Amino acid sequence: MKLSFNKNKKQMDMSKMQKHTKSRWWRLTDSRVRWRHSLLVKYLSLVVCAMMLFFFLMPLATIILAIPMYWNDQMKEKENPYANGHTLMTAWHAETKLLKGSNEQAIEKLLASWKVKLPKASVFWIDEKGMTRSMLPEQKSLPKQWTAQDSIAFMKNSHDGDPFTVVSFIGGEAAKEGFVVIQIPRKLMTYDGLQPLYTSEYAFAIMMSLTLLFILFSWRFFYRIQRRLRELERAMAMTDEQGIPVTISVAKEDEIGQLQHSFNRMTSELRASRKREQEEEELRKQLIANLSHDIRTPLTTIRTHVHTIQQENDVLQERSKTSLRVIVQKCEDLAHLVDNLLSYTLLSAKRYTFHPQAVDVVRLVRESAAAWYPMWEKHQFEVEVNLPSAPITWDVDQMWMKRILDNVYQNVVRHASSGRYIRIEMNQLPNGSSELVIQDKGPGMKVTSSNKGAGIGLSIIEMMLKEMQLEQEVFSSSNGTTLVLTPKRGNLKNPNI
Amino acid sequence: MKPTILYVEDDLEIGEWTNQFLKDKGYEVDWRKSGENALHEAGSYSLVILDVMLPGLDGFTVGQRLKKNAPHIPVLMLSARSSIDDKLQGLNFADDYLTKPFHPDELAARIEILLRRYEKEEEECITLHHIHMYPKQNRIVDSRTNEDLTLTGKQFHIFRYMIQNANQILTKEQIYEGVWGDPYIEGDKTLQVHIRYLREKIELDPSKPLVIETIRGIGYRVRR
Repeated sequence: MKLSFNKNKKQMDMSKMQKHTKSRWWRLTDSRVRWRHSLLVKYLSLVVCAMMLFFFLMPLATIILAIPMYWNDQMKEKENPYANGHTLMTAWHAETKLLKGSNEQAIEKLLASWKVKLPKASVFWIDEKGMTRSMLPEQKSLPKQWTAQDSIAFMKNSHDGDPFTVVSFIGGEAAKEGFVVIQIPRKLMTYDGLQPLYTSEYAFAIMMSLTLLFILFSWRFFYRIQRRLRELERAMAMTDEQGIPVTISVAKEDEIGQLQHSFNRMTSELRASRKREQEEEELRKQLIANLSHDIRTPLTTIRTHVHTIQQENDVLQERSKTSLRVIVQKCEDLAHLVDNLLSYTLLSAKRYTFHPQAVDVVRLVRESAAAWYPMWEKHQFEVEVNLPSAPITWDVDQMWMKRILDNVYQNVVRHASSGRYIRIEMNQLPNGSSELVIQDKGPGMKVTSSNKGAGIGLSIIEMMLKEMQLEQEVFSSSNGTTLVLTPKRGNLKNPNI
Repeated sequence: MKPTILYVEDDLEIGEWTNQFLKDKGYEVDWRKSGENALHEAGSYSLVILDVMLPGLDGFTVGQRLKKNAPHIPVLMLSARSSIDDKLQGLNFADDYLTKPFHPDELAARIEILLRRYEKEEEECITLHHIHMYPKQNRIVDSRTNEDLTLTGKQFHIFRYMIQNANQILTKEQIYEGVWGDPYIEGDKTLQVHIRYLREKIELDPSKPLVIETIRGIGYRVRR
């Protein structure tokens, strides 16, 4: 019931999500994002701002710039007597026309008066015979005696050239009394020779800077998005000790903010499911532990009561004694089987406490042998222990290693006691590695053992060895079994030790 | 005086049997079916045997509180919980952890060891072969001549440690760390030298030691 409810809920979530993902471009934004938080709206407003600047601010700026420039122009023209070529030309023509029939003194006087009025202009006149007269100042490039060809060349050069040249006949065109010339360098005619502030250049600069500003703001806009995306990506890669990404703090409620919210929802769901999984695992562990306990408890009762009967040694028949021994043996086998089942379940689910560390295996093997020695003594074993005095360090879990040794010794006592021999040896190998050798002189492992529970026990040992990166080699013959344990290359962090 | 044992076990069949077994072994047994009411009186017992799966407070909790109140009382966990995790949790505070089903003789042996370890001063005289040891007086007497054997402080200390852990094989590391209290340094020959001198004093024939047995390749043992 609960399961189907969850399923329905999930489907509901799914449909909700699909609704979200359905594109509604006319809405501009996702319904979860408020429009004023939307990135799209932000970018559009940026573009609109830029356009406003172009259409309104630019003409405005042009006008603002043009007003002082216009005034400037007016001021400049008033001050500069050279500025207006047309006015000068008209005045020149009018005054020289009045010279009709006048003598040389009058002409020279007029020229001198113009020279005073416009000191930077050059003036001269040519008489009716073609002689250059009263040049102010002296000009080397001009001929003394003008031919017709000279006149035409001069006129051609002066037309629209620099300096600005005005030629007028004395007393009008028909008088044939010669002509007067005034020349003004053109740079004097334009604003006192200063570089003018052109409106078009200003406008260009403003346009450029506005464009740059727009590019800058756009860049900043996208750079921020990019940075946030990068941060998000980095945050997604970061994991806590459970291997689940950590929760991200959401600063802005825009589209990326929604993405972050979704991501946070996802991680919290992941965390919840991991927790559920762990709880289930814990439950299973508990269940098996309880099962093991519940089987072991009646076994204890059987075991202890058998002991009571065994105490009545005198009255028991030999057959009964054998039966009792078998019962005790089976009780122990069953207890071990249950134990192994528990261990196997936990190990295969990787739910076993595992603390690998650098362990002096020589010491561990010696202490384990010390614990088992009375047992071997009881079975009249010949015990040969050859352990080096220097420590040998392996990267193993101490409890696991003990368990492996216990298992090996137990198998030796159970299945190889006929050999009455055990040899435990540790060697430092010349290649820097080391080995643990346990040898017995039993009937070998090919003989099928009466203990069917050994299979699972061996699987557990294999799993533990694999986890601790130890290699196991077994040489078995009818003369005995030799077990060699060596650490794999990965086990030893420092192979020199 | 008989050692008294507080035995907490809720399973009636096992409890009844073990109760009888321990009484037959010569102990005075107080069998309780839950841990709560046993907690406060624990100080008056020589040893506590605890099951783990108990109604109410579990054995781990009871044991931990017990050890806090009365650290000088040895606690033996006797449980059908057999995983390494359980054993580790138990051995955090308890002195020993035995899993069910247990061999009754093993239980008796472990109780013996624990009692001896904790009640070492109770014994007046320990006899090993020809040696009489009086732990309270720090005296060792050769029973044949009735002469005192003079041991150095360290020699006596080593000998006493081995007697306290009698019938167990002790590695040289264990003895060193038990007597000196420091971690054993590999290659240190101090202990061997001390034991050689000790043997010269207490053994009849130091080349064939009887009191302190050498278990070749493993360690030493004193048998009682």
